[in-house]
Amino acid sequence: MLLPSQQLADLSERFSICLSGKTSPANCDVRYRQLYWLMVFNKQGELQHACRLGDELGKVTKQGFDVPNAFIEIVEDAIKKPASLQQMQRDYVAAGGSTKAFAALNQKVKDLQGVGQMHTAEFLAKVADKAKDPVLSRARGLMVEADACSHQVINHGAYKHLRTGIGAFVQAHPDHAMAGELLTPLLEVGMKYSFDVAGKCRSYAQQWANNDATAAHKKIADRLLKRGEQVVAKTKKELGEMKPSDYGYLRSLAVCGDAKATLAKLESTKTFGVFRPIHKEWRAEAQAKLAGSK
Amino acid sequence: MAAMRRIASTLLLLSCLSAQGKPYQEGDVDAFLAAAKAAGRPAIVLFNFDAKSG
Repeated sequence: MLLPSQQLADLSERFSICLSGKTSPANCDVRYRQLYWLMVFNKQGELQHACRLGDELGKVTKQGFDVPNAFIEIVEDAIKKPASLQQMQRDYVAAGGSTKAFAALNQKVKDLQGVGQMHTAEFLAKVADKAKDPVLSRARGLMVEADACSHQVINHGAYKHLRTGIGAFVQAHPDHAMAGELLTPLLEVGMKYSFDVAGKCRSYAQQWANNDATAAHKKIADRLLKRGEQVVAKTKKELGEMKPSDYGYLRSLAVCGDAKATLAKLESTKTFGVFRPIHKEWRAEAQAKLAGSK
Repeated sequence: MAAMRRIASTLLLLSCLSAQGKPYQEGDVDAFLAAAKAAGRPAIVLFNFDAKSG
């Protein structure tokens, strides 16, 4: 089985193969870290298909294929896919950002298991002016970005970027239908790892309802304040049902903005990896809140 | 068990590829893709993960 197989030798005659190690191809951001992603590019160099290799091999070997043949089956199916991600992006522009073209683009990203989703969010913002409704295209970009953020390893910078993007969108377009819809990803994704969500909401509300605010600004600011209070009330209820050792207990304390309890829990919690910038921010903000309340 | 099987299949596949006398490139993926595109050849990339993605 470990000996060279004719199938793989044949495959390498038809396809260039690269083991890219720990670097993903440009514009091929991935959702979650996996043991090997397979990405198949057509001869124009466009992303035709992507999948978690282990999952796909598991499925195809169950159909009776050995591993080399299963791999070839996966690649053969991939290259027959009707369109690349880049083709779907061109179709979106050609259709003036129509709902149908956006749905097709979203479906392609889904078929790619989220590979290139952040790139697609950037694309939607970049080509907004070519769409019939540029504002809608920007909002779609933010929705796609939020979905990408919520399906990847916790990333402090990505959440911040999302909050900034949504905040600016609502400030500029408070009466757009998507402004209200974007409050959900702002709270549920952008602020998922934020300290004092109610306080953050007050800060956004103040920005939106500043001196030259319209009635639409004030209305959406009120909506955010109410939604923020609901998030905190729900989290407080969940905290009441949790043990201090439970996963998410510290995050819940932070979300509720309980400065003293957050700092105490941080003292007894080992911080590692992706949580370093998040815990650093919680510590600084909790200390500032305590100092401000003295 | 299923996860173990997935990992085993992947590692086995990589062993098979290695045994081909390296009919593949390692690393420098963007240059690899540019070369494949210039040659008009479809391409396969097997990517693990890195710190900036995921």
